Amino acid sequence: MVRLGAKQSEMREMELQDIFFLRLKLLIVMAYAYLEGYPMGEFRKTSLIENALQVAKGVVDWGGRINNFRTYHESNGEIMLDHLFFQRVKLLTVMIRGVADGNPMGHYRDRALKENADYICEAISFNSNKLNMDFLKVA
Amino acid sequence: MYCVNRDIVQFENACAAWSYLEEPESADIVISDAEMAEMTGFELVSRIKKRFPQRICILMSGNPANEKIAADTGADAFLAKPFSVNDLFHIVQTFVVERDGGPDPSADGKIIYVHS
Repeated sequence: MVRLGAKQSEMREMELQDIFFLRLKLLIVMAYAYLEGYPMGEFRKTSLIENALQVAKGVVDWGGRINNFRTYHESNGEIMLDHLFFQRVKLLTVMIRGVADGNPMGHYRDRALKENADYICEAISFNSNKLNMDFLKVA
Repeated sequence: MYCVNRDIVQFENACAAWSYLEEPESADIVISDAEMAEMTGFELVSRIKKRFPQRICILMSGNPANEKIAADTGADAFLAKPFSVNDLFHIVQTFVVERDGGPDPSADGKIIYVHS
């Protein structure tokens, strides 16, 4: 049996923040895949739109001002998120929606998308280069 | 859906999933929560393996005690929560791409996702 996921000692049910960051990382992968020119197709377009919608819904910038709210990851010191981060995530969802809807992109929009994705990657310490994405090159 | 570029059929309980899965050509891969009301993921996997042993069954759980039960039930993989994008990509690579013989996955197989 193949075993994946958290170590035994760290296992727990997933919280909303876990799912939010999972979806956000997938959204970033989707952005890079588009920028690399990987094939799209209808299933991928549908999931792009759905994922962008879910991430946009999940972006909650409490700013730590309400009940000292921190995500699990912030509490553990893994990441520090500020107001700009949340705005950039919202912008990413809009950009991805534009890609999925077939809106014209062009050099400057592609560059803006890359810069935004790079910024978010750095904020959450996500290195998408470590992922094996060869199967995304195939339609 | 994005990674495999195929439709994913979702169910909110294992009974409904099993009714669907009883058709021979219904799915290649089943991903299910371990603990659910009415019928657990373990029972679902048990039934699937008895009738359609070639189908891939993946169980998910946040409870460490469920890992051994998953192995005993015959699951092909255990996805321990919380999991990452990396883990999901690994599943696609192992059970979709490599199983189909290369980075050009067959477009026909369906994936079923059962969650409470």
